[in-house]
Amino acid sequence: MHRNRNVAIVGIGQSKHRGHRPDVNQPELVYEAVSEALADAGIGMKDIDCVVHGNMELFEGIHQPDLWHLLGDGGRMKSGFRITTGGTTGATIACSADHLAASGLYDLVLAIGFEKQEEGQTTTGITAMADPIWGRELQTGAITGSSGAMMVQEFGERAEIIAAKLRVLAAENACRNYKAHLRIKITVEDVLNSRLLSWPLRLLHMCPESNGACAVIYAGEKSAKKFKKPVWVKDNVTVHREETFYFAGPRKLESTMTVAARKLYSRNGIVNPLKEIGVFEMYDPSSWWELEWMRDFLFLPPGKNLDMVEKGDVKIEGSFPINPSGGVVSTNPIGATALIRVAEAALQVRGEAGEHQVPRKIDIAMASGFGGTLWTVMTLLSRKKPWVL
Amino acid sequence: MTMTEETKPTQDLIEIRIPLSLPCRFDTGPIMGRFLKGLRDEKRIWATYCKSCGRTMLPPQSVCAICNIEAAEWIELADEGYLTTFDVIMIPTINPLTGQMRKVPYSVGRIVLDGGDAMIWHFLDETDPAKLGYGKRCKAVWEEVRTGRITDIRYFHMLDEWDKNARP
Amino acid sequence: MLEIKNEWAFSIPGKLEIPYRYFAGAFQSKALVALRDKKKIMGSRCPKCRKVFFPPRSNCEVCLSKISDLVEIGPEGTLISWTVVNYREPIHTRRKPYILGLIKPDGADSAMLHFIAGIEPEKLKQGMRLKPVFSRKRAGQILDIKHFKPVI
Repeated sequence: MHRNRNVAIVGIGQSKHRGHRPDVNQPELVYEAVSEALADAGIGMKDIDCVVHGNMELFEGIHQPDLWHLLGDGGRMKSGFRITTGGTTGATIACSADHLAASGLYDLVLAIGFEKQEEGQTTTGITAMADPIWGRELQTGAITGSSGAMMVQEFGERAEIIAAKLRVLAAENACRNYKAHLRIKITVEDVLNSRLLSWPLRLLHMCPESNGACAVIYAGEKSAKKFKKPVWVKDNVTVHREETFYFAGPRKLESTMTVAARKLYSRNGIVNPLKEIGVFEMYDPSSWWELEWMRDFLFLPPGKNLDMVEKGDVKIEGSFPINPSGGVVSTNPIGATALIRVAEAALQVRGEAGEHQVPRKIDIAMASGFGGTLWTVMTLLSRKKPWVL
Repeated sequence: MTMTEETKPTQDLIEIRIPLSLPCRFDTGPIMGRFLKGLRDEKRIWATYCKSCGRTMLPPQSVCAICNIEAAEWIELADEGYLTTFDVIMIPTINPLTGQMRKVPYSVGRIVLDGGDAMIWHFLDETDPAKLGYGKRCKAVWEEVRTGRITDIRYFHMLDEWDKNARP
Repeated sequence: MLEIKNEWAFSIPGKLEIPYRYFAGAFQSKALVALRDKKKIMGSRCPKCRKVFFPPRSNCEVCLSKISDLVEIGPEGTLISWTVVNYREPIHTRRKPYILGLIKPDGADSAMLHFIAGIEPEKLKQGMRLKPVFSRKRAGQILDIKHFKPVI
C-alpha cells in the first residue's frame, strides 16, 4: 500500500441540523456549512483548489444539484467533482477529498455533504433505488426490523431493552451537541412505547429526516502543517456489494462492516480495536443496527455488544465511546451524515467537541459510513502524522 | 416531548411546490426477461446457478458476483419454501411507481425456495409478527391474469408448518 | 455457457412520481413577497463586489460575502438576447412558438430569463426597452410576472 503524501483535515463546518428550515433555500444551507469551515481554517475561498460535492439527488428532485449549489459553495471557476453513493455519500466524499489531496494534484480540497430532506419524500426516494424491474413494489426503504427480529430471536426481550437503552444514550449525547437535530429527553419506556414502524423497529429507534450540510477541508502535508491542529487521515476503506441481499438464508455472506473493518485493521496494524481506537463515530441508521454492527465492526464475541451497552462502556465517559455526537439516530441529513461522522471524529481528535468531547486524549478515531445496498466506507484519523514517506 | 424544533416564522416564508411525474420505460434484457416471462407464461421461477461456489441466484444473473465468473446454467426453483427475515410495515409511505400512499400494514419477507439456496423477496399474507418466524413454510399464490411483473405472484401464503432444515 | 436468447428481452412501463416542495428561504421570500404584493422586482447587492444580482441571494457567489441588502431594480429593462422555442415538451408552460429572452432590469448587473410577448420575433432588437406585464393572480413566484413586452 502506498500514499504520495500525508493529508490532514484543517477546517470543519456544519450547519445547524434541524427538521424544518424554511428560512433557507438549498444553496444558503450549503453556505452555512462552507462559511463555517472556511472561518474555522482561517482561509478564504481563493485558497481552495477543488470542491467535492455530494448528496442523494432524488431527495430534493434537483438534477445535478451541484450546479445550483455553486451559489453557496464557492466553487465558481474551481475544479469540482460530484459524488453520490447513497447513504454513504458523505464518507465517499471524505475518501475522495483525501485521495485528491494525497495525489498531489490538488492542495486544498473542500468536501461538502448536503441534504434538505423536508423538500422531498425520503422513503419514496430510497425506494426508487430499488431495481425497477422486480424490486420497487416491494422496497420499504430503510424501514426494516429484520436485524432486530433476529436479535430478539437470539437474546429475547433483553435485546429490546438494550436497544432502547442505546437510543436513550444517543439522545443524552445529542443534548450535549448543539448542532444535533433531535436533542430530546427520553427514557427506555418512551422508546418501547413509541410507534411501531416494522416490528421490532419503533419510531424512536429510527433516524430522523434532517436538513443540514457539512463541509470539511482537506490539505496536503506541506500546507497542512501551517494550520493549527491538523487531524491526519490514516486510511480509508470502501466495501461495496452487488444489489441483492444475502444477510440471511443458507448462503449468508459476511456483512460489509466485517469485511471493511478487517481490511482496515490489518492494513493499519490494529489488533485490539477496543483498546487501540479512542472513539468511534458509527453510522447508525437505527439503534438496532447500531447494536448489531458493534458486533461486526469490533469482532465481539456473541452477546458482548449487549453487555457493553448495559455497562455503559459506550458512553462519552466510557471505555469505548460510540457516537458522542448523538449519531445518525439524532441527526440525519443523509448526504451529509457520513461526512458528519468524519467531522465529529476529527473534532474529537482536536479536543474541540465542546460538551460532547470524550474526556481523554484521542490518538486514533474511527468513522464509518453506510448506504446503498449495504455498502460500508470507513475512515481512520490520527493525531500524529501517520505515514513516513 | 417535541420531536423537532420549529422555527416560528415572523415573516411570510414562500414555499414552491413542484411535483415530479416522469413516465419511463425499463428494458429487461434477456436474463430478467426470461425470469419475468417465466412468471407470466409458465408460472415457473427461473434462477441461475454458479458452478464454482454452488450458489443459486435469484433474480437470475449471468455472472456470479462473488466469483466473477459466468453463471453455469439455468435452474428451476419450486414456488414454495421457507421464510427467513421479514418486515411487517406499519407506517405508510408513498409508492414511487404510483405516487400513492401504500396501504398498511403489509408484510414482505425473504423466502428460500426449494431447489436451491436463493431467496425471493415478496409479500406475505400474514401481518401478525407473532405468527411469522425463521423457517416457517409458505407457498406462492399466483394471479389469474399475469403481465410479466414480480406481482404475477400475488403473495406467499404462510403455511402452518416449519422447515426442519432451516437454520438462522 | 449460459443459454441466452435475445427474444426473451422485453420492455416494461415504469413511472417516477414524487411530490416535491422548495423553500425560497427568508431572504428570497422578502423579494418574492414584494413581487406578489407590491409588483416590485428586487435584486441583491454584494457589499464587496458592488454588483446587483437577480435573482437576489443572501450570499455572493463570487466572493462568498454575506448580502443583506435588497435593492429595487427595473421594472423596465434592456433586451440582451433572445431565442424562439419552436418545439413542445410536457414541461413547457407556453405553447410553441414562444420567445425566451434575457432582460437586464435597470439597476441590475445580471440579466433575468423570462418570456417576451406582444411583438413578432423578427422585430426584436438588442438594446430594446422592455417592461413587465404582471399576472393578476400572484403567489410569490417568478410567473407573477406574466412576460415582458416592448415599451412603446
